[in-house]
Amino acid sequence: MNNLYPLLSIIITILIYFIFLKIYNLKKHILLHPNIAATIILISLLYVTEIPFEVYNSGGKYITSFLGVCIVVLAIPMYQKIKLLKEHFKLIILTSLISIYTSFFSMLILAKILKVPKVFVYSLIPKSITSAMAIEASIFTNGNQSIAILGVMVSGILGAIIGRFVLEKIRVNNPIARGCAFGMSAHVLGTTQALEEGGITGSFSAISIPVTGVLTIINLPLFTKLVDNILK
Amino acid sequence: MMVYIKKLMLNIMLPLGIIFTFQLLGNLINKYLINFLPGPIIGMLLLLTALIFNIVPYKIIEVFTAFLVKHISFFLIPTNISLIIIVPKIQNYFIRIILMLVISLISVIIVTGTFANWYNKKTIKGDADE
Repeated sequence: MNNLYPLLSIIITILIYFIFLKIYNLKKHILLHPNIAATIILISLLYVTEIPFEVYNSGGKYITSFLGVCIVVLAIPMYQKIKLLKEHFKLIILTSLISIYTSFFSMLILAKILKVPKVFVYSLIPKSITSAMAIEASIFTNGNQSIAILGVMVSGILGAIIGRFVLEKIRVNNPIARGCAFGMSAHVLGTTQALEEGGITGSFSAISIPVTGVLTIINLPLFTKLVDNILK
Repeated sequence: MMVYIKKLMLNIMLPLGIIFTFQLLGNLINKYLINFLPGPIIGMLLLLTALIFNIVPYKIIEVFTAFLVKHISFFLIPTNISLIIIVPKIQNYFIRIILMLVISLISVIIVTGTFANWYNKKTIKGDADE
């Protein structure tokens, strides 16, 4: 009986994912995004049935083992947009660096004010990059993967929901600037919103994801050192 | 039958093999040369370089990787579900963490949007002056 659980949890995950993929194709609401909706449904399912996470993960870990592959294939969207990256190289790299430093220092200052222990800050540094890379980054900083995911999900969902409103308030109308803001603050989920605004916004948002991811990871040694020195 | 097997090998096994090779290369380089970058990230940068210089022709891996890229979020679901064990453990800090994330997110959107907007205007103006 025991060796049925891994297969069962893989099958249920695939099933729920594809159901929401179909629903999301019909109605593109951010909370129906398969990543979010499947997570919510599965968590509720485990909660109601009182199945421990370990039992679910006996199958889930096989799915997770493909994370490395997922990061490697991120080279493809980058390759497809290489022309755009070459044309606007300075703009994208500079904006990305500024977004990373804003993200990091705002977190550092807030953590200092709110007295949040540095264990959490380590895991929350990669909050604006795509989940697969964020997990890799949190392993690197000795943070907690689940807290990193929490940061990534909250940033993604919220960024997708309030991004447009904030950009309207500060009167940023340029599609390139809007694309950068979406992709660099709310990664994949922000990009779903950017794509609705049009081709240029969507493209810039999409190219921002791997660029911000790689640059964040390159900056990690510096960030962890700063956290070590400033926070207790 | 043979044609079918050949097609399967070409469309799935070969691209998968190529991607695994790059992941392995990345992990090896991470272990012996550059330990400040995670292996998969090095693998990704290597694959990008290989694609640009046509060492790995894009055509070979196009179909399979398009499928993988489209469904990346599927592979993240089990990790997302680990939230179920962490959220009760960080109860005392939960509100503060959310507050941090929200304020930080809004500042990132404002700063990034404003900077890119300004930079873009500046370069367009510079082009017009020339």
